Amino acid sequence: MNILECKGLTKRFGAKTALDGVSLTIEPGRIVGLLGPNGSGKTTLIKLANGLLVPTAGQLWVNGRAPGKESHAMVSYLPERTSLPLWMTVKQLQDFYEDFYTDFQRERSSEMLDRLEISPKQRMKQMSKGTREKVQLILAMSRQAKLYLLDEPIGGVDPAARDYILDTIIRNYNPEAAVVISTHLIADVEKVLDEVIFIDRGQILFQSAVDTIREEKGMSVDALFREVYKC
Amino acid sequence: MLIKLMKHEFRATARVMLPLYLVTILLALMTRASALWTKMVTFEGLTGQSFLALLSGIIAVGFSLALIATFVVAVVLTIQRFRSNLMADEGYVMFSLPVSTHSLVWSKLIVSTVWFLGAVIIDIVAVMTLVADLAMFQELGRVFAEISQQLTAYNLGNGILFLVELAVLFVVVCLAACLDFYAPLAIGHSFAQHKMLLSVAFFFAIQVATQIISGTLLMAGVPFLDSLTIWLSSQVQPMAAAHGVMWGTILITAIYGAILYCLTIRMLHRRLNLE
Repeated sequence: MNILECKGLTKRFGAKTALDGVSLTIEPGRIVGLLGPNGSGKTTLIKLANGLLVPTAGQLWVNGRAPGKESHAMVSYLPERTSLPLWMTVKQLQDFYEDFYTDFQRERSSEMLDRLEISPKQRMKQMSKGTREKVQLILAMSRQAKLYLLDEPIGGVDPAARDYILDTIIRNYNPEAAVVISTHLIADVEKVLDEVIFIDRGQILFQSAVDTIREEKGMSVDALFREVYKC
Repeated sequence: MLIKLMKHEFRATARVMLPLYLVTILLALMTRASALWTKMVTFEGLTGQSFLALLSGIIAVGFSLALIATFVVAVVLTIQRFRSNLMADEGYVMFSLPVSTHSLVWSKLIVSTVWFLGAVIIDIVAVMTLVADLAMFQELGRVFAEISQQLTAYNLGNGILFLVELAVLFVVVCLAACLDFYAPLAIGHSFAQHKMLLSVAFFFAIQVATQIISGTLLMAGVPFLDSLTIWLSSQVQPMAAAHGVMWGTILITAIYGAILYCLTIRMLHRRLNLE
């Protein structure tokens, strides 16, 4: 069964169409790059998949279910911005995740936090922006979810932190799950991707395996991205 | 899941409300102590009276403000928690949890109601701390006995029922008061821009609409009021009529709250628009 499936998915905000009849499928066991320039509809698609927006038209299923509290139990979502309460300590956040997600692996999150020398007693508001993003990623990747929706996980951090984040994703995701990484920083993520979806102005341009792109077009995903989205 | 949501909601709000309750009680004790001290010093004719009078005045003002603050902060926290935890960035985390929107809203409603109840209890305890003496307790005992006698004049059940009705009314009024803020916040934040400004505008719009509708219904009912009163007095006992008024008030408040609740849930289900 497809872990994520959309049919004719459309989302309009007033007169502006953010997604226009998007149809796609994502299978388990794949790391998929949702690639496109700013404002192409990546975040809207991820928000729809997570039930944070309601589609104007079309349908969407996560592991055969419409977005809702059942699908939330299967999806590990990393929002574009840090959205964890700033007054909470790391330990309180672990308690929070443990309370609501049965697939949350506390020990795994503690190991990753130890490696970064982040104290469980530290409050989110005492951390730098980059550290907050790492904590959020660690919590998201400490779940044994069926689908990981990572919205711009490397958007706001320095190159060294990008490597750490990508490494964390690769080391910790459930191999039977699918990972969707939305980004426009192609060069950084290319090495971890199995598949890419190019999106522009709310429409899917194409979906292809990374190896196919390299074999058939003889170029990297980054080079193809620059060609497709050339201004 | 509702219990878990409430646990975390209590954790988020208790760090504000519990210290405030503690400060209120401490200020009550300090006001009481300063009053006794000032009286003693004045009696013994010692110097420094004006400074002590000033200090006790400041403590008394602080105490008065703390009494008000227990309610004001509870209201502010009700609004702030709904806005920051559901309508702003934290909403990404909360609306991604495997819980229903109903549970999210109810957890906030219940916790806010508990803090309102806490504010009532703390303010009563604080005032008692300030004025309590043996004579007062004796007088209070007499007053409560008289009230109890009046309430149970017809039978014991009446008194208990009145207390139950008051408790239910308090809870329903608290829930409706929270929803008075939740509904406009949910509507205002469904727009792309000026979310808070629109929330304030919808708050006043809902209040004005409620006044117009209730005023119109009242005016429409006035011609029938006399005949209804005569009919009721011939049909039911005065005590039963009093209970009827209580349950009628509860019902009207509950209907008002239910409309706002449905509006809030509908907006969160269909028009959630996190930035």
